[in-house]
Amino acid sequence: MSDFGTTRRSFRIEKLTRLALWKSDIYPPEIWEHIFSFLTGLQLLRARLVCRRWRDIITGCPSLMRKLRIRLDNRELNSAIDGSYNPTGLPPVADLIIQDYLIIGVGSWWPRVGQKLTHLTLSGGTAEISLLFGMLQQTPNLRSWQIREFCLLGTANPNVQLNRLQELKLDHVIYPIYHFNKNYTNLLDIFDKIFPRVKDLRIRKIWKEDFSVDRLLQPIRALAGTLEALEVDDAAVNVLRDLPELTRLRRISLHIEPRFSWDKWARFFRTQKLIEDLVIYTDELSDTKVLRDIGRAVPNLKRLTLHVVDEIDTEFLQFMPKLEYFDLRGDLYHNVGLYRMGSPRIKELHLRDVDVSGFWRYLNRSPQLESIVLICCSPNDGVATAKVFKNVRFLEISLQSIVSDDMLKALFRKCPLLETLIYGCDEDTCNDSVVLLACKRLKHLRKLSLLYCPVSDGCVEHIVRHGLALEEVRFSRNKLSEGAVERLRGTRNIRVVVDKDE
Amino acid sequence: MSTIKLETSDGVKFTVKTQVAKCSGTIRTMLEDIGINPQDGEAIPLSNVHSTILQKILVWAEHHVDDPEPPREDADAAKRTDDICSWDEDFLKVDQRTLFDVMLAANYLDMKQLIAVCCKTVANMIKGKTADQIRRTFNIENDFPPGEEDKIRLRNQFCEERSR
Repeated sequence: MSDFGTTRRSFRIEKLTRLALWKSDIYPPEIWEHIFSFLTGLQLLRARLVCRRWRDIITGCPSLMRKLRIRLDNRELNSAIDGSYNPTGLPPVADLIIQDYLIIGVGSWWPRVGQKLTHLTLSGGTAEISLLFGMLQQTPNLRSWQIREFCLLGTANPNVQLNRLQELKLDHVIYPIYHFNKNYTNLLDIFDKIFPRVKDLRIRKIWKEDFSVDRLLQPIRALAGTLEALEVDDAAVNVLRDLPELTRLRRISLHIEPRFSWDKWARFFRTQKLIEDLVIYTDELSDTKVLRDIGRAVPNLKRLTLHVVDEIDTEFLQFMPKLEYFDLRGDLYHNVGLYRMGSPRIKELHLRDVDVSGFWRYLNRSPQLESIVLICCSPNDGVATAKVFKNVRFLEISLQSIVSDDMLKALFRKCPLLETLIYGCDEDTCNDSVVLLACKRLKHLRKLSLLYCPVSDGCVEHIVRHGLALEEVRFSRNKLSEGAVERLRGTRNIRVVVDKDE
Repeated sequence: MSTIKLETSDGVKFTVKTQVAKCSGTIRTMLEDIGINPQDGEAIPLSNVHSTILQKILVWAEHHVDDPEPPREDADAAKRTDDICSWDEDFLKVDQRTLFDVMLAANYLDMKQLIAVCCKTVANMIKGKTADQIRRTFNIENDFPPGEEDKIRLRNQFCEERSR
């Protein structure tokens, strides 16, 4: 009998020792990489804090780091990047935004970071163009470069060439000219030399002082061999008319001038059958026949962005059965009826500055829908007789959209798997009740942004108690006390971002 | 119905339906490409898998033997972890060591669906926890020198999630 007891005991001891000695870190890094691949970017940041091994595995795996972006944000600091600026210890992230910095010199950190970069955005800020070219010499792997609302100074030879760059966005780049010195280098004259293999080119808000859009023809022609997507504000009409060699376009944007003949466009689209992504700005669209014609002529249309100032219906969607993205911008509360049969493949629906009717009916018949954005938009349907939308993960309702409480409740009820909610309509009323509703109803909510609308400390209680899946909360114009913000940060490591009043 | 024999690291022999065994890419390759002939009656040695784990894996394979091939996923696409079927959820309600051993064996046997479902289960154990809670869950020691964790937290402030 005693024998039996001893055996049992020793077996238990052995088992306990085995479990105590067992550690999850004996497993190879590939297994962990695979596990981590199921985490979101914010969860990865948190996992980096666990131990050296986890930090090294995550930091050493490019496909995990691709979920993250670094933002060097100067919006509140008001300082410059000069030779002594040195952000140390940044994780090896390949996507960088430099925001609102005056750049007057770069130190040894730049080559180290630049080598790894595949995506670079300069947003706001100022630099000498020669310094900018110097920076680009250190980023040989760049695939995408965006520069927006940026001031470029002085002159420079295009002494740098980035052959891997595929995506180029020049958006509102300005060149201040001083009376005493009128010399400056305009990127628009030379971008084809710096980026000779661009596939996707977007030029917006051309700074027209001293620049005519016809000067664009030459550099765009030089890229005709690689160009697949072209968006050029109001110059597009000329560019497309004068460059018939552009035959491989998948995306174009058109700013239609008044009195422009739609017949010509119908003919044009019959020669451009590859188009998948189309942006149209017009104040001449009283008749949507042209859109039906485009639908017939361009069978693979996947994305459509439409800026119109007239009251229209969207019956033309029936001729665009492959549409995955539809962005409709109107002119402040013109009525738009959504196509009653829905869009079978639509994933993203953006509506701005319009009154919408037929909202639920459209949603009901668009089973693939993942993302709904309502900006300054009023769906004027009654309460839903809709089914549950299992694929909708993203909802934005902002900027004076008029969405009743009942409608909001219905939306939350119909989209139970929502992961991101951006909400901000009314500047005056306190929105604690929306927070409570969202946190209670939406069990998968990861990101909550409250724009424009103030919230009180009471909402923190709701988030702590009900928002169990929340990873990020973003406020602007908040009335929260420091203590409440800290409490939130301490809760399940929620990332709290407070944007200051603009 | 044809069967084959498998022999685990601890010398236990299993007789398994060929079709079930072929859920494992490794075994499939052995049979189809290398041309090991199971009719010889000789067991295929699986020197990296213990019998307790293989037994568990065979239960899973038996249940999933008729599953269709999963669609190929985009490597950078957002991956879901809330789509584990309830059978798998119950199947993986085991102690952590077994869970990891199953995952490791599934990796060796090249069973992609089983690896994925194990990884999702572990990922769900990480989600929504602070670093400290994660350490406790996985029995991990905080081996950062003093102050280092705060430094990383500070650097994390520079990072954000890329939108789709």
